[in-house]
Amino acid sequence: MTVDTLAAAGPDAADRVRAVRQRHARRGDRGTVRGHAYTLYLVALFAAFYLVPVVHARSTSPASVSVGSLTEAAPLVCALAVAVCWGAQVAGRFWGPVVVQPFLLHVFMSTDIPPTRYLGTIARRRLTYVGATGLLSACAAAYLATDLFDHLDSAVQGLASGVGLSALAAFAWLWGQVRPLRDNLLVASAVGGGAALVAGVSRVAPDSGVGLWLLAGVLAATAAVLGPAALRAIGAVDLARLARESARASQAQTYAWTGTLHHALDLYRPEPSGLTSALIRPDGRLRGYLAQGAIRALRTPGRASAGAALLLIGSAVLTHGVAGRGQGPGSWLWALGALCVYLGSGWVGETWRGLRDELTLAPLFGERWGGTLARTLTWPVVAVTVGALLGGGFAVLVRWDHHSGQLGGTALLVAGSVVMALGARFLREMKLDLPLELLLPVITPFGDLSGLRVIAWQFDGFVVVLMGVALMAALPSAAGAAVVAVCVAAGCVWTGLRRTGWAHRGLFSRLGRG
Amino acid sequence: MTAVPILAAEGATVTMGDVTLLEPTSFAVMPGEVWCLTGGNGSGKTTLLRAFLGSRSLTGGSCSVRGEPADMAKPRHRRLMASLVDAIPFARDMTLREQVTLVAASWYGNSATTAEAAEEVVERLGLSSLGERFPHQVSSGQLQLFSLALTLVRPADVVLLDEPERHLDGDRVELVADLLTERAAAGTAFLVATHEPALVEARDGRVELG
Repeated sequence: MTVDTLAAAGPDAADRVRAVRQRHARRGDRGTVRGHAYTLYLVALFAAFYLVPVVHARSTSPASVSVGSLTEAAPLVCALAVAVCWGAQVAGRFWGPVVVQPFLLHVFMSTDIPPTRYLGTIARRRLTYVGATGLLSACAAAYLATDLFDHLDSAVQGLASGVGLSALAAFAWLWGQVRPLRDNLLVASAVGGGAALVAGVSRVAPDSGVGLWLLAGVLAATAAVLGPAALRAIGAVDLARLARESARASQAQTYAWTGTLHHALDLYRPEPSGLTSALIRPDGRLRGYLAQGAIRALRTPGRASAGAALLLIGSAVLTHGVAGRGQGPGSWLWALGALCVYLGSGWVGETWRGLRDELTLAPLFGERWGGTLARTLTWPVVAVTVGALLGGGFAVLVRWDHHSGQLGGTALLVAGSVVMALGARFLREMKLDLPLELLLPVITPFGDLSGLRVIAWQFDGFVVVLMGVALMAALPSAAGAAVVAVCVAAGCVWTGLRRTGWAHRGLFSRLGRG
Repeated sequence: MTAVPILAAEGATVTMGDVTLLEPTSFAVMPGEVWCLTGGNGSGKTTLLRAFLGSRSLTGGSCSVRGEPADMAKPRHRRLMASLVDAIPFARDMTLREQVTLVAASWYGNSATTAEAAEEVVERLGLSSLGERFPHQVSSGQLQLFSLALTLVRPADVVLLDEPERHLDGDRVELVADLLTERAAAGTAFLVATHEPALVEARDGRVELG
């Protein structure tokens, strides 16, 4: 049958979409009633044992954070709104609301049915779920941590702002996926500008208390404009790109469910491009290890730039936090800076993966003393060191009075934190498949804690950095803290080598062979 | 009145920097014809098929479908053309028959034609005994036949196939060639990139690339 005969007497698009959905819903591993009931049971259990006591404790005790007057709260809420909207747009670029199962998408996109017919319903349903979940989570967090809901006027204003923000964030998520980069930059600028304006107005009229009302109104109006436009844009979505995103999301989901979240994240690394012949000198010889690492990093310029920015900002924050340890938010800044350095150390180079592969796969390069480690670690170590020196130096120069008199201790602690972050990065990058022994139950008086162990394994780099910083901050001597950091880093390297199977008796002979 | 070719390439060229992926190519395929693209690896067969699909931009010349530029965003383009150029993302949790029926349902809705069309193509490609299996339970050759079934179960005025003989033995290649000839006789045009002599023999025209 050709399409002309079908078009003359065939079913309409709605019937065809319904027919596909009905058949797809009857597939093999769809969710069962028992499965949904078990999920509800777990949610009820969690609520009964954890949520209810926490809510009760909060209702009978003062809030840990006071939002102060509503005038003071408005700029903070504006900043939060901007961060949430931008975050939603970025999330949409990677995993948006119209990501569907690859085969289902392939079936639909091979037809002449307009995308709005088969993606519109899915998008609306997911936006509703995400908006409602976001609103509930934000309200719960605000209730538990702040005194926003202790007074009727602030509660109503906070709730109105929350509703507007959750609606706008949901539509920004869709906008991020279905519109091109230029349109996203436009919306991001508009949101930033609008938030700055509202924050400015709330500052100018401090006694009127209109800040949060104005913000809620602006958020609702923006959502009302952006929402229909985003839903209309589904009809013109780039189907080929959506197919690639859906295939990647499906694969990432499989990795995440089988316990290898790091493999799932690997799928979202940018593809290298450019500098295609830069690794080899004109005379045919390979460039040095440092140049090789730099060139490979520059083949993914966006990721490398983000890594460099994180290293510089993280080092500055780390140095500032270390200098102010023991007072105010100093320790938090220390931990935040160390986390940024940890993240930046991974993004700034592509050679970590090469190291893992060289240690775990069949030999590819000729072996000689230190060859593997020198080839793969020279660039990230140099890049992180230079970034830390620049960022830390900048922080010291800008606030010399803050650092003078304790520069030696600060330098020791910053160096220790950076070494520890590098060790944590090594540990994370050497991760292979989830060890089965982690699935064994860990019976304690608080119940089975094997889940916590799996989570700690998934986010081991973060855990090491945070616990290491906490340990260092608890020690009175800077030199002692630095020694502890180096010991933690050494432990991470040893554990990382064990993960690859290299930390057996033959390690040194294998490294020395050649 | 002059008949409009279902597919036409006019000096279609693709270059990337100094490298030529597709040298200037011109030909026209009329409804009901089977044309083959032949040539060595890297001669531009898949590139040309993607240009007709609209997923690869040309750097010179044009590719048209029924006189209009190839563009996947147009519903008419998607209605006219079926293709097996890139791998199909099979559903691992549906049997072969369920998946073929799902594709048929996307065209025929909840009508009796859906089951009839699915059953016919499954039978013609020798997949009847494998209908209740999942994709991971069949061989590479059987998966290739399954991909062809998913492509051919839908109505189309033109079908693009990239090496349909992949992983198939001689008997199965004959089976596919017979099915293409039969569909062509009913009015569907085919453009097939292939290295298989049995498929080349069954063609109305041939474009040698490279």
